[in-house]
Amino acid sequence: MIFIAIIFIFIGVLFSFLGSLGILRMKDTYNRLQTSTKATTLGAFSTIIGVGFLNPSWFFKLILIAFFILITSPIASHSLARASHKTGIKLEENQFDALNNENGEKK
Amino acid sequence: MIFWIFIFIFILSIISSIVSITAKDLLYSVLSLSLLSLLTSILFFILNAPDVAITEAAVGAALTTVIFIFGIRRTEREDK
Amino acid sequence: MRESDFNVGKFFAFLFVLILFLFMLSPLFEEGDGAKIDKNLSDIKNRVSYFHSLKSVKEIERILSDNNDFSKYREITDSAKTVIFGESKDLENGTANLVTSIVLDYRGFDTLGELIVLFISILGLTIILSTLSFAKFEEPSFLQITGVKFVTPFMILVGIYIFLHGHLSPGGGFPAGAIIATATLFSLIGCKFNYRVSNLKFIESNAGFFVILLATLGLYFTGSFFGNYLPTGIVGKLYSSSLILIIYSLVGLKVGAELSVGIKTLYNGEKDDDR
Repeated sequence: MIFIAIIFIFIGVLFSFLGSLGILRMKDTYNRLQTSTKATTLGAFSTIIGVGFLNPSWFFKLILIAFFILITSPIASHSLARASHKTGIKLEENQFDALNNENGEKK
Repeated sequence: MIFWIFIFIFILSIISSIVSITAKDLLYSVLSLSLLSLLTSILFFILNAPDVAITEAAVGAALTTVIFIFGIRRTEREDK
Repeated sequence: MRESDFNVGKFFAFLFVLILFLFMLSPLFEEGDGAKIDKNLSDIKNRVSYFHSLKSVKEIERILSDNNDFSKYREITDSAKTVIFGESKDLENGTANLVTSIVLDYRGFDTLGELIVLFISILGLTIILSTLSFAKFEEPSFLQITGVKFVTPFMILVGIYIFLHGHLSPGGGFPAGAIIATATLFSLIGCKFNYRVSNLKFIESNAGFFVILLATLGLYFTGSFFGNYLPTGIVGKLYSSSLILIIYSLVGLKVGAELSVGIKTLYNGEKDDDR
């Protein structure tokens, strides 16, 4: 049981580390948002599952916490990306924007 | 171990308070102020004061940030 | 509503404030038997000096070294001398959380002062900001609307849990009010839920009125403002603290409603809302 828990926690810590490394490495706001939310969601999720294997009496509460992370994290990243697109932050390399018109104006 | 966590949080809070004073963009200063109150709530929780920690996290990190951002929307964003 | 109209509620509020004022003035005219300085400690210098603290520390050291049972030094209960969680009854103010019993029982005036300070600050904010014109906010997207509609009832539930369990677990009225105000802020920004200020004003004014009314009833029953006059139960149960549960719930409702009114005023003013 402890071995499975350690494996899950290790995966979680690894993905959290990769997510925080992506914030440093990526050039763009949107790419940074992608690394910082997707990888961190997986990291928190598997860490929580690992803790649940360590202490099975907390499992229900931990599933609730994981559920809330699973719901709130995409909404937060969506609203951050939406706000940064509305205020006019552009991509670093590829200037094509699918949300704009053909002339490059906002819809 | 707990001593080094304390030192880390102290250094982070000092950095965030210096940023909140010296930043030209007022939005950055408000966000670093919210980070400062979050770190302070962690400190309170380590020091066995969970009541104060909950109050600090709810009021300092959530409500005052929102009120400051509403105020910045009404006025100018850049500091002179 | 015109100012000159005779109102029954206004009359009773005026009468209530007058009675409170008389109660406040009463210690000036009569000699009560409340707090008295003991005659052995009449030398006040001795009470605050360094030697006195040294003496008390020595006394505590002597008590600690004598290997006594400490139950006779803590005069908490009448029936049982030691406090056991979940078993002991009839404590002084049966709270399991010590901070709550200090904040709402021993230092009740402090909480009342905090409430008044918060009320005055929100009053000034609404008076100043309700005359300005306000900018428009962005329309929320579909994902934000659904997410906020899902999350806000749980946030309000957490706030209600925190102020109901203020005497058992950390938390209390003020953080619960802040959490409820954050939930209303989410619903205001995220899904344009346009709550009415008049309902919030009703909740806030009635909660503040009942806090002071219950505290004044304590003046009648026990002889002190914020005194406990309801029976206490077993430590650790929900209905264990006598008056603290009710007053903390009212404080949480009042703070949440006040902060929600302030946020609503900051958001779009009171112009497009019924007064």
